[in-house]
Amino acid sequence: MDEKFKQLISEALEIELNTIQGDIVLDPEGNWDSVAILSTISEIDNQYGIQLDGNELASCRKISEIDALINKSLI
Amino acid sequence: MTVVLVKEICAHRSVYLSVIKREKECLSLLYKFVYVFFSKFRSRRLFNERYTLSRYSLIKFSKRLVICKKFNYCLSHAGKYTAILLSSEKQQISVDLEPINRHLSGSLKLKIRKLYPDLLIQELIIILILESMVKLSVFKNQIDLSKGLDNLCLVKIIRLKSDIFEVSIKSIKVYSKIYICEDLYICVTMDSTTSDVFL
Repeated sequence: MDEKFKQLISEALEIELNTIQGDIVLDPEGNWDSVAILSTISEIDNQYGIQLDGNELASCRKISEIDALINKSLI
Repeated sequence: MTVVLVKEICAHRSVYLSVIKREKECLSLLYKFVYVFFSKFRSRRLFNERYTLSRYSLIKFSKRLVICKKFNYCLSHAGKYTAILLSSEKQQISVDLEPINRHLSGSLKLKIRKLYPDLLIQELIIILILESMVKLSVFKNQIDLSKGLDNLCLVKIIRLKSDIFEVSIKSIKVYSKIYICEDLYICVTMDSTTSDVFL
């Protein structure tokens, strides 16, 4: 995970930048609801210029999986 | 589990809004599990505490309002809170719930502002209206929030009163009202031919 991705996650999910790690759990009943997903879609679009599908993002259960989705879309 | 709000909200039909606060329960959760198990809400999801408590509240709420057999309902969850919207008739209803201090990312706020530059309300309230609206089947297949906000240019939102909004796509119109309860915004949206649908 690079700094750009960590900053994106920090802004989208309101997590302290220095605490971001790939194994942070995304909980659909907590920090990973529809508003968090919309925030993440917007930040990814803004930072990387790619539009990820919300349903694909919703299936992520760890922060590292969002990173993997972005990297897959950038290839 | 605490009931923090019960309110009749519709001027023409029986539509009720309730908000519950879920708390840690052990013995009473088992009782509620059994109660919901023998209802129409029996499901694998019963092993999820939020599912059990919200459906238990929904059944109790419907019985209290003497809406025992057929009812329309919509649920929304935020943290420990669940909003329950209940109607005895076939009216399309939906609800969305968010904490007043809910964080939105900078770029999400910017996108919403670009979409609705003249709508002078918080971006969070616009999100609530949109999230509530997409739950209505009249808009099924018309917009998809999972694709982000770029396809929302078709959605028009007009402020009618301080807390009431007309929301439309082409000729389909619905009405939304924002309520505030326990540091939460609650948006109720109803399919109606007139704007005076709310009490």
